[in-house]
Amino acid sequence: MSVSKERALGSWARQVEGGLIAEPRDERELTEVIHVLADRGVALNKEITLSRARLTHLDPVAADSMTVAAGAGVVLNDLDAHLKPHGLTIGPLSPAAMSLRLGEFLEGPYAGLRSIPGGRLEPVCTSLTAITADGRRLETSRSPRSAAGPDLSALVLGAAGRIALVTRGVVRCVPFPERDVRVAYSFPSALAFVTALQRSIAEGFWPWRVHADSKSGRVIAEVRWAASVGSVERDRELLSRCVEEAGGRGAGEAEREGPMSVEHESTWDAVLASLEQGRALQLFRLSLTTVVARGDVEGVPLNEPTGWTSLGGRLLSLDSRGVFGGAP
Amino acid sequence: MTRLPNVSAASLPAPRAQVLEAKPELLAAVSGRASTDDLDRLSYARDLWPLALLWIRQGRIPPPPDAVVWPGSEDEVAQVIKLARRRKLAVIPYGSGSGVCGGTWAINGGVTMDLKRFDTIHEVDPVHRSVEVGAGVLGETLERRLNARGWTLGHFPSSIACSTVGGWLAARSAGQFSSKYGKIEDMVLSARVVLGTGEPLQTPERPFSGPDLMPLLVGSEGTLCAFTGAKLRVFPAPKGRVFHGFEFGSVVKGLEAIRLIFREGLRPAVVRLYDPFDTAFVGKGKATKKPSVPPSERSLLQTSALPAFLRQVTKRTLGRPTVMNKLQSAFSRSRLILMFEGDPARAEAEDRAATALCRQLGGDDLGEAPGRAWFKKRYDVSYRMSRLIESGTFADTMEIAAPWEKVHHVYERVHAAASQFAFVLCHFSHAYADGCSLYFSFVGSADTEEEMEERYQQLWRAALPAAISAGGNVSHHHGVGLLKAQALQDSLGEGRHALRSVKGVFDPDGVMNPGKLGL
Repeated sequence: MSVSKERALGSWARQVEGGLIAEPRDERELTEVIHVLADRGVALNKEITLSRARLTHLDPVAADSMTVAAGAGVVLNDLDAHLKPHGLTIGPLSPAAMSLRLGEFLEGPYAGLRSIPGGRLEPVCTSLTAITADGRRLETSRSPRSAAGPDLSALVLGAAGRIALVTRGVVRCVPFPERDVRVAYSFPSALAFVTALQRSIAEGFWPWRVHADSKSGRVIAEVRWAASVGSVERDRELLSRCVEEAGGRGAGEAEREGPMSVEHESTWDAVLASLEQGRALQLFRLSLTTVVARGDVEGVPLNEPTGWTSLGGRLLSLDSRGVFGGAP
Repeated sequence: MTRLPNVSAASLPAPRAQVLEAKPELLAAVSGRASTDDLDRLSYARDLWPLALLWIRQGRIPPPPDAVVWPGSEDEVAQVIKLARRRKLAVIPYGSGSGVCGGTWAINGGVTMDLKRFDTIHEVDPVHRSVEVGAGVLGETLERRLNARGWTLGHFPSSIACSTVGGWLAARSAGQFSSKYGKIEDMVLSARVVLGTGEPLQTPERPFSGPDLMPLLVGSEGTLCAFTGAKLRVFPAPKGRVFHGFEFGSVVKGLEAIRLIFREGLRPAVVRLYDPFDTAFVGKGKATKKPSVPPSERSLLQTSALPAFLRQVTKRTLGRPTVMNKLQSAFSRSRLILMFEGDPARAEAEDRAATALCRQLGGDDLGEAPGRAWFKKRYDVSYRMSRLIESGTFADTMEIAAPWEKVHHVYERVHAAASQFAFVLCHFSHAYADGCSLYFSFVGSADTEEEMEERYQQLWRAALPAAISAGGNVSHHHGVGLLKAQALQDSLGEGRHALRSVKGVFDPDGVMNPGKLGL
């Protein structure tokens, strides 16, 4: 696209090295971007790059429901720092996830998911606002749970901005922990480690990070969790019992520095296989189905978009004007 | 027992000609298991939407389907949907008709597709803690099978005896223990569906790339697909269970206790806070049950004189709900029931922590009796509603959810809006760290059946908008159906176009359950 066209696009567009960039300041401008590009037959991220870095608005923290509405451009680490004076935190996301902007975290391979006590995965946002390819506003319910039809946030989460562009989300937070503990355990096998973790998670244990190192068939694991004083002690008692029942025991020290590889979303089967091959792993977002893992482990890489399922691919037809890239 | 007026199958409208023309193809598609008989059509004409009961009392019949089919394989489901697309017929997926919002009403006729023949329950996979089941499996059947093998699904809707796995998925069901185990969408790992295009497919299990389609299909109420099976997460059957009751000086105090319990990270399976009137009368349930006399053995006094007397009483009391509701201001105390289950030591530890919080907020410790009493009679409420309807009243429930900042405001607004049309009770349950569900019960009456229906409609026109404008949502777990279709469309705003676009992708000819969700 030529510079003369850039001027005709609007104040939100500017030329940078490598091409044009659209930097809307708010939802209204983002909607304008979509309409203008559609009218001109220009596809985002092909002829012009979209940045939502300026969508950094933060609403006041809702202390009772422990939520805060944040713009898509807010970096999660910055949001966490903002929450701390309010006695809140985003909770245990992986390090790579925390370096993302909210919009990237929601739309990218992390699909905006976090684990919660009980081993379930749920979107970190209770509600989303997005602009669809036809320039319309999509806002999902702010209530904690709904049975009012399909959950349309599925058009945003993990969809790489190909169906709708998120502008803001209402982020669920947790109390800033009173205590942060790391305890090391030794397990006779990788299977014993996986069994103990899965059982404790099913009963309500909520680990923030686990470093597991496998040597000569044994696994030494450092488990970190954080919560209120009472909660930490309840979790310590539960975890210790689950470890013992799996044949493990307390250990003195464990390696704290984990492998600095790309994060993957992996199954527990993949974790088990990796540890049985003598590898070291760092685990985050531990749920009963999958974990986010660093190390040599099979799974879906979370640092870049990969191919969609064929079912998901059908939704690309919702971008009928091709403004987000359109149907394949 | 009051006898409802006889509804004659002969008074049904005849099946539409286009369905009768398609009948040979329908029979071929489902190996002969198709019917256009009036009795079958009458049986599938309604679900448990109380409006249908009001109609039947007036001798009116909800719109029946033109045909009913009972497919037994995904291929047969696909054949029916493809036939429907060719012939422009509606297809209404049907579980066991326990919905309360008209989600299976055949408003434009068409073919009701009963999926109860998908009744397989596979063995539990103990390593991955999952079980594969057919969509037509009844909840109670599934839970008993799992219990016999040492597992639980953790899903206990009050309709568990008469609802199916497919129905749960279609309407985003929640069970009484949802605060620990989650709603059905938290339990489903993958699902087998036949889309409105006629294509059978299985949704992928995590991890995968791209958007997750499951949240679009779960809750679609048959408007996008028919569920034929699911892989569900299971938990070891609980070895320990701890009950605890508390009474607070006000609803506000009780709500604060629940909020702090979840803020502390505690996960009771059951959390139920009764509003003051419910606490004073309904919530004081005893564990003993009066034996029920079967209708066939009831005396003339029980079947005729007593109901006639009750109808007069209810007209004079519930027919003037404003006065009745004002009486509620004489009550203020609010009862909370908690139940923790799972690992016994963990359940005990969480109960101790919750007890400390409740005491800090001035809650009187009632011990375990109220919780145990509730547990024993936890499925009875639905059956009590039938008796209320029989006694000449109307009764319905409305379940919504709201963030903690809005919960009490929603409670007050709905109470005020509904009070002129019905007697109003409420309890708070299905709690989360960021909010909870409010479950309203409405009971009303009027001089004539026609006035009763009008009052019922006025009630909904007042109560649901009041809830939404105060910060609640459209539904927490009953779904939308026809009852809340307009409210859903209104609340979606411009988002309704996105919902319509999704419908266009998965059901391009619009044959799947027309009218539901406002689609």
